[in-house]
Amino acid sequence: MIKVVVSDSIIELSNVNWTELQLPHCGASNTFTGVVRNLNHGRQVSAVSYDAYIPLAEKTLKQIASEAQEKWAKNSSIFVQHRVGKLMVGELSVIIVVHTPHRDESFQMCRYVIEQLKVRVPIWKKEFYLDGETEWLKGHELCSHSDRHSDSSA
Amino acid sequence: MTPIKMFGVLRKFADEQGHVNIEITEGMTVSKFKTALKDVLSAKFSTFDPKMIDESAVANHSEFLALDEVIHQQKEIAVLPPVCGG
Repeated sequence: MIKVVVSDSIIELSNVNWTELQLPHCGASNTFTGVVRNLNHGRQVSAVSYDAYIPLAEKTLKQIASEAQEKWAKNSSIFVQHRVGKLMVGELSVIIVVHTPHRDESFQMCRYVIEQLKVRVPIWKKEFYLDGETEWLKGHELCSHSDRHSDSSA
Repeated sequence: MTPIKMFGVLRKFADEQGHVNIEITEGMTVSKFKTALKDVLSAKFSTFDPKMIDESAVANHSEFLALDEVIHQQKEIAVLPPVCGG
Protein backbone atom coordinates (compact mmCIF):
# COMPACT_ATOMS: atom_id res chain seq x y z
CA MET A 1 0.00 0.00 0.00
CA ILE A 2 1.28 3.44 -0.94
CA LYS A 3 -0.32 6.75 0.06
CA VAL A 4 1.12 10.13 -0.93
CA VAL A 5 -0.08 13.66 -0.16
CA VAL A 6 1.42 17.03 -1.09
CA SER A 7 -0.76 19.82 0.29
CA ASP A 8 -0.99 22.80 2.62
CA SER A 9 -2.50 20.65 5.38
CA ILE A 10 -0.65 20.77 8.70
CA ILE A 11 1.37 17.60 9.35
CA GLU A 12 0.93 16.08 12.81
CA LEU A 13 1.78 12.61 14.05
CA SER A 14 -1.66 12.43 15.64
CA ASN A 15 -3.29 12.95 12.24
CA VAL A 16 -1.61 9.91 10.65
CA ASN A 17 -4.05 7.07 9.99
CA TRP A 18 -1.97 4.38 11.69
CA THR A 19 -4.73 1.79 11.45
CA GLU A 20 -4.73 2.09 7.68
CA LEU A 21 -0.94 1.74 7.49
CA GLN A 22 -0.42 -1.13 9.92
CA LEU A 23 -0.42 -4.55 8.28
CA PRO A 24 -0.83 -7.79 10.27
CA HIS A 25 2.40 -9.31 8.92
CA CYS A 26 4.49 -6.17 9.58
CA GLY A 27 6.54 -6.11 12.77
CA ALA A 28 8.48 -2.91 12.08
CA SER A 29 7.27 0.67 11.86
CA ASN A 30 9.66 3.45 10.93
CA THR A 31 8.80 7.15 10.91
CA PHE A 32 10.88 10.06 9.61
CA THR A 33 9.82 13.66 10.07
CA GLY A 34 11.48 16.76 8.64
CA VAL A 35 11.24 19.86 10.82
CA VAL A 36 11.85 23.53 9.98
CA ARG A 37 14.98 24.55 11.89
CA ASN A 38 16.06 28.00 13.00
CA LEU A 39 19.55 28.02 11.50
CA ASN A 40 20.90 27.29 8.01
CA HIS A 41 24.46 28.00 6.87
CA GLY A 42 24.91 30.34 9.82
CA ARG A 43 21.79 32.41 9.11
CA GLN A 44 18.91 32.73 11.57
CA VAL A 45 15.78 31.36 9.93
CA SER A 46 12.30 32.46 11.00
CA ALA A 47 10.20 30.51 8.49
CA VAL A 48 10.30 28.45 5.31
CA SER A 49 7.94 28.52 2.35
CA TYR A 50 7.54 25.40 0.19
CA ASP A 51 6.45 25.56 -3.44
CA ALA A 52 5.53 22.40 -5.39
CA TYR A 53 4.27 21.23 -8.74
CA ILE A 54 1.75 19.06 -6.92
CA PRO A 55 0.52 16.59 -9.58
CA LEU A 56 4.04 15.66 -10.67
CA ALA A 57 5.37 15.76 -7.10
CA GLU A 58 2.76 13.24 -5.98
CA LYS A 59 3.36 11.04 -9.00
CA THR A 60 7.14 11.07 -8.44
CA LEU A 61 6.72 10.27 -4.74
CA LYS A 62 4.51 7.28 -5.61
CA GLN A 63 7.16 6.11 -8.04
CA ILE A 64 9.90 6.44 -5.39
CA ALA A 65 7.79 4.53 -2.86
CA SER A 66 7.12 1.84 -5.42
CA GLU A 67 10.86 1.53 -6.11
CA ALA A 68 11.49 1.11 -2.37
CA GLN A 69 8.90 -1.64 -2.15
CA GLU A 70 10.34 -3.38 -5.19
CA LYS A 71 13.88 -3.15 -3.77
CA TRP A 72 13.22 -4.20 -0.15
CA ALA A 73 9.68 -5.30 0.74
CA LYS A 74 6.74 -5.55 -1.64
CA ASN A 75 4.41 -6.50 1.22
CA SER A 76 4.85 -3.19 3.04
CA SER A 77 3.00 0.11 3.45
CA ILE A 78 4.44 3.56 2.80
CA PHE A 79 2.87 6.90 3.66
CA VAL A 80 4.45 10.20 2.57
CA GLN A 81 3.05 13.66 3.23
CA HIS A 82 4.82 16.90 2.27
CA ARG A 83 3.62 20.35 3.17
CA VAL A 84 3.45 23.38 0.88
CA GLY A 85 3.02 27.01 1.93
CA LYS A 86 4.68 28.96 4.73
CA LEU A 87 5.85 27.06 7.81
CA MET A 88 7.29 28.51 11.00
CA VAL A 89 10.32 27.09 12.82
CA GLY A 90 9.40 23.84 14.54
CA GLU A 91 6.63 22.84 12.13
CA LEU A 92 6.81 19.53 10.26
CA SER A 93 7.55 19.84 6.55
CA VAL A 94 7.47 16.15 5.69
CA ILE A 95 6.55 12.80 7.23
CA ILE A 96 7.40 9.33 5.96
CA VAL A 97 5.93 6.24 7.64
CA VAL A 98 7.04 2.78 6.55
CA HIS A 99 5.65 -0.52 7.83
CA THR A 100 7.58 -3.68 6.90
CA PRO A 101 7.81 -7.28 8.11
CA HIS A 102 11.29 -6.68 9.64
CA ARG A 103 13.19 -3.66 10.96
CA ASP A 104 16.13 -3.61 8.56
CA GLU A 105 14.07 -2.89 5.45
CA SER A 106 11.96 -0.34 7.29
CA PHE A 107 15.05 1.78 8.02
CA GLN A 108 16.40 1.36 4.50
CA MET A 109 13.12 2.17 2.79
CA CYS A 110 12.50 5.24 4.94
CA ARG A 111 16.02 6.50 4.15
CA TYR A 112 15.59 5.77 0.45
CA VAL A 113 12.34 7.73 0.23
CA ILE A 114 13.68 10.89 1.93
CA GLU A 115 16.98 10.87 0.00
CA GLN A 116 15.23 10.41 -3.35
CA LEU A 117 12.59 12.99 -2.44
CA LYS A 118 15.30 15.60 -2.00
CA VAL A 119 16.75 15.12 -5.47
CA ARG A 120 13.81 14.05 -7.66
CA VAL A 121 10.56 15.56 -6.43
CA PRO A 122 9.53 18.99 -7.78
CA ILE A 123 9.40 20.85 -4.47
CA TRP A 124 11.24 24.11 -3.67
CA LYS A 125 12.14 25.84 -0.45
CA LYS A 126 12.41 29.56 0.29
CA GLU A 127 13.89 30.63 3.61
CA PHE A 128 12.85 33.73 5.52
CA TYR A 129 15.60 35.16 7.73
CA LEU A 130 15.39 37.20 10.91
CA ASP A 131 17.16 40.09 9.16
CA GLY A 132 14.20 40.38 6.76
CA GLU A 133 15.87 38.83 3.71
CA THR A 134 14.56 35.78 1.82
CA GLU A 135 16.28 33.26 -0.42
CA TRP A 136 15.28 30.28 -2.58
CA LEU A 137 17.67 27.48 -1.66
CA LYS A 138 19.89 25.98 -4.32
CA GLY A 139 18.98 22.41 -5.13
CA HIS A 140 19.43 19.43 -7.40
CA GLU A 141 18.87 19.68 -11.13
CA LEU A 142 16.08 17.52 -12.52
CA CYS A 143 17.52 17.60 -16.03
CA SER A 144 19.31 14.26 -15.72
CA HIS A 145 16.05 12.62 -14.71
CA SER A 146 14.08 14.34 -17.46
CA ASP A 147 16.47 12.97 -20.05
CA ARG A 148 15.62 9.49 -18.88
CA HIS A 149 11.88 10.14 -18.57
CA SER A 150 10.54 7.92 -15.79
CA ASP A 151 13.48 5.53 -15.53
CA SER A 152 12.88 3.71 -12.26
CA SER A 153 16.58 3.00 -11.80
CA ALA A 154 17.23 6.73 -11.18
CA MET B 1 0.33 32.15 -26.54
CA THR B 2 0.54 29.30 -24.07
CA PRO B 3 0.76 29.99 -20.31
CA ILE B 4 3.84 28.28 -18.88
CA LYS B 5 3.89 27.44 -15.19
CA MET B 6 6.97 28.67 -13.30
CA PHE B 7 8.10 27.48 -9.88
CA GLY B 8 10.55 28.25 -7.10
CA VAL B 9 13.16 30.86 -7.92
CA LEU B 10 11.61 31.35 -11.38
CA ARG B 11 8.29 32.61 -9.97
CA LYS B 12 9.68 36.14 -9.74
CA PHE B 13 9.70 36.27 -13.55
CA ALA B 14 6.06 35.14 -13.82
CA ASP B 15 2.73 36.90 -13.44
CA GLU B 16 0.54 36.65 -10.33
CA GLN B 17 -0.75 33.25 -11.45
CA GLY B 18 2.82 32.00 -11.79
CA HIS B 19 2.70 32.01 -15.60
CA VAL B 20 4.88 33.26 -18.43
CA ASN B 21 3.33 33.39 -21.90
CA ILE B 22 5.33 31.77 -24.68
CA GLU B 23 4.28 30.99 -28.22
CA ILE B 24 4.54 27.24 -28.75
CA THR B 25 5.10 26.74 -32.47
CA GLU B 26 4.29 23.59 -34.41
CA GLY B 27 6.90 20.91 -33.80
CA MET B 28 8.77 22.92 -31.13
CA THR B 29 11.08 20.73 -29.10
CA VAL B 30 11.82 21.21 -25.40
CA SER B 31 15.28 22.43 -26.33
CA LYS B 32 13.89 25.11 -28.67
CA PHE B 33 11.24 26.02 -26.11
CA LYS B 34 13.95 26.66 -23.51
CA THR B 35 15.76 28.94 -25.95
CA ALA B 36 12.53 30.86 -26.65
CA LEU B 37 11.85 31.19 -22.93
CA LYS B 38 15.37 32.50 -22.31
CA ASP B 39 14.92 35.09 -25.07
CA VAL B 40 11.60 36.32 -23.64
CA LEU B 41 12.85 36.55 -20.05
CA SER B 42 16.18 38.12 -21.03
CA ALA B 43 14.31 40.87 -22.89
CA LYS B 44 12.01 41.57 -19.93
CA PHE B 45 14.23 41.23 -16.86
CA SER B 46 17.72 42.61 -16.33
CA THR B 47 18.18 40.28 -13.36
CA PHE B 48 17.38 37.15 -15.38
CA ASP B 49 20.27 34.73 -15.90
CA PRO B 50 19.73 32.26 -18.82
CA LYS B 51 21.61 29.66 -16.79
CA MET B 52 18.48 29.38 -14.64
CA ILE B 53 16.64 27.84 -17.60
CA ASP B 54 19.60 25.70 -18.64
CA GLU B 55 19.48 24.15 -15.15
CA SER B 56 15.71 23.63 -15.25
CA ALA B 57 13.67 20.64 -16.37
CA VAL B 58 10.51 20.89 -18.44
CA ALA B 59 7.49 18.75 -17.61
CA ASN B 60 3.76 18.39 -17.93
CA HIS B 61 1.47 17.31 -15.09
CA SER B 62 2.46 13.66 -15.37
CA GLU B 63 6.00 13.37 -16.76
CA PHE B 64 9.34 15.03 -17.33
CA LEU B 65 10.05 15.88 -20.96
CA ALA B 66 13.33 15.11 -22.71
CA LEU B 67 15.17 17.87 -24.57
CA ASP B 68 14.39 16.40 -28.00
CA GLU B 69 10.70 15.84 -27.24
CA VAL B 70 8.12 17.86 -29.15
CA ILE B 71 5.83 20.03 -27.01
CA HIS B 72 2.17 19.71 -27.79
CA GLN B 73 0.23 22.93 -27.45
CA GLN B 74 -2.64 21.38 -25.54
CA LYS B 75 -0.38 20.06 -22.80
CA GLU B 76 0.20 21.92 -19.56
CA ILE B 77 3.86 22.95 -19.50
CA ALA B 78 5.91 23.61 -16.37
CA VAL B 79 9.49 24.79 -15.91
CA LEU B 80 11.14 23.22 -12.88
CA PRO B 81 14.34 24.71 -11.44
CA PRO B 82 16.67 22.59 -9.24
CA VAL B 83 14.66 21.06 -6.39
CA CYS B 84 15.19 20.99 -2.62
CA GLY B 85 12.22 19.53 -0.80
CA GLY B 86 12.20 17.85 2.58
